[in-house]
Amino acid sequence: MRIWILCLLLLIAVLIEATLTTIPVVFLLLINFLILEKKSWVFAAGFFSGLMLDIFSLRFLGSTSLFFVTFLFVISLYERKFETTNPYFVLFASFIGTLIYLIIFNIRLVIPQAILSALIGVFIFYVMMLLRAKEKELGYKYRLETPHKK
Amino acid sequence: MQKGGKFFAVFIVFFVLSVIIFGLSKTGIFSKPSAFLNSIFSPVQARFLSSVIGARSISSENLKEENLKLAKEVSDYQKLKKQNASLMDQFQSSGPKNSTLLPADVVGAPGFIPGLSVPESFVINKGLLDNVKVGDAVVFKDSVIGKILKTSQNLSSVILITSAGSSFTAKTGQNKPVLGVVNGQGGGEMTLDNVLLSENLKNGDLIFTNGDVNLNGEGLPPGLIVGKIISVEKSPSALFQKADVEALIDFTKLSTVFVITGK
Repeated sequence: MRIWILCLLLLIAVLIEATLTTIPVVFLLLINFLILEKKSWVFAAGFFSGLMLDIFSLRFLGSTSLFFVTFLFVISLYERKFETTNPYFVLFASFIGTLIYLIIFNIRLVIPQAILSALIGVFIFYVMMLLRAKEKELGYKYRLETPHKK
Repeated sequence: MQKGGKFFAVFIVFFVLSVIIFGLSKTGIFSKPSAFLNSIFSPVQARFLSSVIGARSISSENLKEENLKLAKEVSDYQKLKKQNASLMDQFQSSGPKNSTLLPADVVGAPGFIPGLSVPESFVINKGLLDNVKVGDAVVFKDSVIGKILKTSQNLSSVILITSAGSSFTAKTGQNKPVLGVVNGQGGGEMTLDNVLLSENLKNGDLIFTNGDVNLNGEGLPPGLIVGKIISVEKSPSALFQKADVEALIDFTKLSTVFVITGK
């Protein structure tokens, strides 16, 4: 999927999480990016989006980035052993990750938010799978390729 | 294996960077870059929040305005009575002076379900550069909203009076005020605790701040409206009685608040 679309989604998610809700929307997006794209740039995305969240939420800079980067690495370790591109793993990772995130950053209503986040994570997974299928249908490629004319 | 190695290398780079930035941020070295970014994005945040909150319906707004006005009139009447009866000190009877009120836009109000859940805190677009300090009271008209919890150069975090971590002394608006402690319960709820069993609390009683301003002018001034009692729990076997308090203001609809800066 085109990287600029993913970055735009991440930016919108940062705005939503900083302004409207305590549900870790950015974190859920990052989990799905890693599981579906399986690229190392997700760590960079986690780092920078974490920094932005820290600035807007008045936390110590680097705290959210540290959490994002670490948890994404733990997920990447699972990818070596198991097939992670399925909604069950997304549900599990989203639930556990949100639980830890909310406890670390002292946000209330941990269990209800973790459950809702897990469901939102699965929803995002299905939406991204759908978008990837559409992208393939329309013939877009993930890497920019110049057409070769004969 | 190669991919795993690449992931590990990238992870190490960003992990170390995060640790370094986290360590340095505690020294305050990033305050100016953060302030610069805040000044760019806070108008966007404010606009986004106000567009999501949307316009309040005119009829409900009128009712709430009327309610607040009536609560203020009751408060003023009680104050005048006290003055006539006991020649009260002028500082206790006055509301916050206009000159000390700093208007601030709410740029963030994160709650569980946006627009439905009451947030536990606000983020406002005033900070250290505007003389806002930790502990300053935040009000809307004559009602207390909360206190400043954290500040940066351009932004501040306000802990609402309904938040689980909020606690302050308060009194009722009766002729003989009843003292107690208002504890936030989260989810938009508060209780008035530590009220002696001998005191008389009833539904509909207005609750006001008792005042805990320190020498630097930080803290909640007295006489600000907290809310009204909606139920009383009085058990002869308990040491104290308590009451559930409901705020008169809908925190989910606020887009502008005022900080009492004390200057």
